[in-house]
Amino acid sequence: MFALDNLKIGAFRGLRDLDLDGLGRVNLLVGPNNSGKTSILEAVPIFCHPVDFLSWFDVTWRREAPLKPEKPFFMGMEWMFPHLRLGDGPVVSDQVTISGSGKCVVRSVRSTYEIRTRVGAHAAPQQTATPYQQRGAVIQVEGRADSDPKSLSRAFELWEGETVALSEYQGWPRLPVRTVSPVDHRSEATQMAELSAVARQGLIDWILKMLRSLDPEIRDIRILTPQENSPAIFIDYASSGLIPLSGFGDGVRRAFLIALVLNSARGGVLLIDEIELALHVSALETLFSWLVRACEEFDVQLFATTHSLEAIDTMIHAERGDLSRIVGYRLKPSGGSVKAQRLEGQLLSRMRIEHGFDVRL
Amino acid sequence: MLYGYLAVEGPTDVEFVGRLLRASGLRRVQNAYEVDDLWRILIPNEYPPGGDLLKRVPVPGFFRSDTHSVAVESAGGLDRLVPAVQDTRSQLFPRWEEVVALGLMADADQETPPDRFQRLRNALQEIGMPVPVSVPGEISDGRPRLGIYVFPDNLRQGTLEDLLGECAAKVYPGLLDGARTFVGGVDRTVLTQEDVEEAAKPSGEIKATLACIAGFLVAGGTLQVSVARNRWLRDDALALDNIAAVHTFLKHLLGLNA
Repeated sequence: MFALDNLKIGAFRGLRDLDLDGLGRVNLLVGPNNSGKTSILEAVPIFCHPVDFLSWFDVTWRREAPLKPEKPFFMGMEWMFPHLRLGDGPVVSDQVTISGSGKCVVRSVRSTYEIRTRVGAHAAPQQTATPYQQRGAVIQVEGRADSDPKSLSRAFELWEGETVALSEYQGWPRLPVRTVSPVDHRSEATQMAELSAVARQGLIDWILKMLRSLDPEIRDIRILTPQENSPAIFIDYASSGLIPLSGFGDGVRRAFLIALVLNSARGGVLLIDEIELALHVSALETLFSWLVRACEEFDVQLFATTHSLEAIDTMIHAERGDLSRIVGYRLKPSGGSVKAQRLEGQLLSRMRIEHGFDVRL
Repeated sequence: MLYGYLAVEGPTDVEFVGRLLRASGLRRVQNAYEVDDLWRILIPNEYPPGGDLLKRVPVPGFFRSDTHSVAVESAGGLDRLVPAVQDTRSQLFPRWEEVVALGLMADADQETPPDRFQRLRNALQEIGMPVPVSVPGEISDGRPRLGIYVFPDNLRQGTLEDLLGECAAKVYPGLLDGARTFVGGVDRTVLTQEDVEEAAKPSGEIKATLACIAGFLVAGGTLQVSVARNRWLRDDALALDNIAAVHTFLKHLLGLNA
């Protein structure tokens, strides 16, 4: 059993009635632009931690970052909810519904989004507060878990100009779900904590081995504090000495991030958007072979989107010993909706290797 | 446009079927830009397939008229026929529904036509394809129409080469006699085991005979090329009972008038 064996997205963003049956250890999502690949990656953490507002926040933040100051955060969240036009009337937001099964205890999620307004007040020092129409939203979430006969409901209120307290819901067993977006490797802040965890677990050599397979000059990784209160990750490079991680190319930085995040996704789910991003074709095989083995070793279920045939072929090659571990899902927009076509590993391999079919089309 | 997909065992079968389709008014599509939109996704955009420099590019033969468009795929052997159907159906998703006719054509070289038919029927069912036909040569209604033809005639054990032998007897009787005399007169005692291995296989002798004819007609060419270029399946040959039966099967399956 995987973290997720099946996932049915009833309604989420632009996706409706999308079935991902028979999920595998490695799940590759392919399809044209705007077919919903990234939306599927976003639906997974929402499904796995439905009553945890942190997951809703994180998904919105990743899509909206950097947030435009003039755009209230809740407006970004609104577009997680499918939108419907009722007859000739206005467009209204519909509910999010996702269901699934697997090691994840959650079985279904239902959520609504309601726009609210109220009279707020701008606080101005030494002046009378100025009343104004404050915009906001209420997000009502109902989750049902395998272990819990009753559904669990929580509501979150978001108001323009106000912060919201984020906390994890600890009531249900928490499945690790980690995401690597196309830009995450540029942000070092979270990597520092991940690297510290890796160091505590004695896994620095494990990461170094992978990095050296991409660049043999890499000798060591360290956290240094070149300026007071501003620690940074440095790589000990054979020919140049200590170089900040930010001085390396995107390929090494992304591989480094994937390794860190994989470690923290043990027993859970790793979501990688555009898995081939920043990686030269010569590095794909090395990294993907390592990634597939590591997912197996750490019991991590991988969901990855890609536009790259080389990435698909390399994954197939990496899994050639047991193609049952890899599953492709081809997203096909058709008649205003998107269908997911499941391609089990053997079939995907034949289509790519024997026929040379462009399975992205 | 009415779309049909045929899975056959090898490249000679593609040309054999292609000649019969030409007799029904379809022409071979040579330029990629002329391939119907539905089929274009079946054209590989890279080489070599699977990294194998010795493999031919796995692209179906495309035949079309103003009303019909047919893809004939050389699957690469009996066991590859149904996987070829599965792979093509998957690649065409969700437009496979536009395919109105599906045909499989196989030799009955190692087993009887009913047994070969049953083997293919079972394999199709295993990939979730309904098979509402119960004997070789039968064509189902529905969408896609389905038929499985077992060479040479759905009744006898044999191969496509038996049919081409009949064609040669009709169209190239002199060449056939000469080729038979040559192949039959080979002194195998002066050859090695390796030399005679292929000729000793079932259908080896007829294949060698037909290859001699093809080699003369195309001057060093293969049977596949000769079937496409020469008169094997033209004029009188089309009236042969067993050739007409295959042609009729294709016409009914694909909904061709001529």
